[in-house]
Amino acid sequence: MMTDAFSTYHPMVNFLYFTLVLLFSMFFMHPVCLGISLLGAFSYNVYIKGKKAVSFSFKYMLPLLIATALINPAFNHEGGTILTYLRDGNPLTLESITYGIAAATMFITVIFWFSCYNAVMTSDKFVYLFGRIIPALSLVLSMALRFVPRFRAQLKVVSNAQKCVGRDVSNGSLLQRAKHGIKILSIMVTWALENAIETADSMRSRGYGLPGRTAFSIYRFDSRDKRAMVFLILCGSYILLGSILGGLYFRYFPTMKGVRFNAYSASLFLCYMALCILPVIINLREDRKWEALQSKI
Amino acid sequence: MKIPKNKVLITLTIVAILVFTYWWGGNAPGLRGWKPSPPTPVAPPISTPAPEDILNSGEQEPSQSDVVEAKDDETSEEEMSKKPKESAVEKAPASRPGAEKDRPLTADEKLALAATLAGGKSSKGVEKGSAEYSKKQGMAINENTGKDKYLTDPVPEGKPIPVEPEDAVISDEAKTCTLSVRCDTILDNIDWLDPEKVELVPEDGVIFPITEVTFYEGESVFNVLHREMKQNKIHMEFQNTPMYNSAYIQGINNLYEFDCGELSGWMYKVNGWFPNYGCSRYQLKEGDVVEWVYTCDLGVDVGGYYSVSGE
Repeated sequence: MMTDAFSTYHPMVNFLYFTLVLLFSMFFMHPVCLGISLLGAFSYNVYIKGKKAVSFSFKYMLPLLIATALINPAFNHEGGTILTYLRDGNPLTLESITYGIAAATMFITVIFWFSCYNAVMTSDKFVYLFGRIIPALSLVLSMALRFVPRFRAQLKVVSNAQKCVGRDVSNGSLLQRAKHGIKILSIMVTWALENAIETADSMRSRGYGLPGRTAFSIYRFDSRDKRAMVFLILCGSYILLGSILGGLYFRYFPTMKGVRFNAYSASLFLCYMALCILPVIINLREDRKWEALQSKI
Repeated sequence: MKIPKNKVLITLTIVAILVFTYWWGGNAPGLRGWKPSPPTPVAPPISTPAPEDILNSGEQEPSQSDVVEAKDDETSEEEMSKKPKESAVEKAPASRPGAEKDRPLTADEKLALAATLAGGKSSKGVEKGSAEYSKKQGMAINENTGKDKYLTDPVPEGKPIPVEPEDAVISDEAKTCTLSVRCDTILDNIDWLDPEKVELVPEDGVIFPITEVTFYEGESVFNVLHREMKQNKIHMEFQNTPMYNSAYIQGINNLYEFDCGELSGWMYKVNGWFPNYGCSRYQLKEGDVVEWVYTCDLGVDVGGYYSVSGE
């Protein structure tokens, strides 16, 4: 498995990157922007998760895309280009179909980005960033984000233990199984509640959130992070400015119309492309460097 | 317990920012264009139209004279809504009805706003329904509510009662009526319109010119509109509303309801009368003149506003 070089960057860089990319993906509905963002999110996701990401996207994301693209024209009949009429008498328009596809693309792109976010922004990074400013909230957030995976792991432990004494959901008749299931559920709920209180107590006993308390961290803001930060800020503000000035304008209704393609809009798209593809490029460069170093030895 | 100073400071800052954004976002009562008192319709104590209105409204001549009348209404309406532009904030109806609010208006607010625009009176030519007449014609009116089962008030004397589309028998006897679709009220209020849609408004406001069209006996206004729009490749979207047992026309030519202010939408009149029921329930007769008009303020500008305060 390849290591993700981008997640070894300073948490601030990671967080800024995901904030920018997620916001841009949610708000830029220009088809080119959507395509760029989808490409970036998908490739990074594949880089991080490998084959699993590909199968996930084909098993769940593709049907989602198709379903959303089909559902939109069933309810939305706006648009200047009438293709045909639906059975209930309302028009089926080209604009509603394209908008459906665009909205679906945006949706799955954001899901991909969040999936990358979860892999890169681990809870220690999050607490490192926000533990000082909003201690209580960041602890709650990181506990909440970690809850589901932890709950699943613990469920496995409890279930296995119950299996040993013949009281798992796989033992006995249907009624007994249901009983065992409820018992396990009750154990899990008790564990979760107790665990939350224990975590909170433990953090308090360590003086979490008290003024003057320092925390050990392995993160260092070095020149590599500085370069990435400068790039993100410049790139992000250029794109933001461009979108505010209408350089990424595109409308779907009543007829599709967007900014004319010229050097300026091309520069915006290029910039956006650079932003979205950044982690993959960093990773590939790092991989090549690593291989070069290896072969020398 | 000792409270650290900076904690208090942070709390105060957050509260200050929230208060600031609340005012800045226009949610403060004084900034909404309303007086802090609730925006209940002040004007309409008289529910029945004044005597001269009744005289005027007696029998309506179809089309021509009515169009002129509606035009008159528009211009006076224009003046009314233009004046407050200068003193934007204090007066209730500012440039666009309800434009000062960030959120959509509620139905009650819209009614109140339209009542202030119309001065509390129904438009000229809009008569109150006559329960006696409607019952005689065969309309099943509920004694308690005074409406039929699809919430329709009695129709005025001399007007046709609604015919449910499922009961209508459509024969193949071809007849003719006149159909037109206009949106010239938008031209007067073009700055209220969604900027993306300005290009859709024809220069003269006529989307579908006055045309003799064929229909088959038993068909409704909706049937004719739907067929003609389809034939002429004009976009039209409707929604069937079971509550009123009729189709509701959401948009024609991509000009939708609420596109030109929050009180805007499509209305229809037949022989100069705005029926008080949906277009699927109006059965056409030979020679009927059907006009679809776009209103920017709940019918006040096209002369089809019903004052509801009488109920």
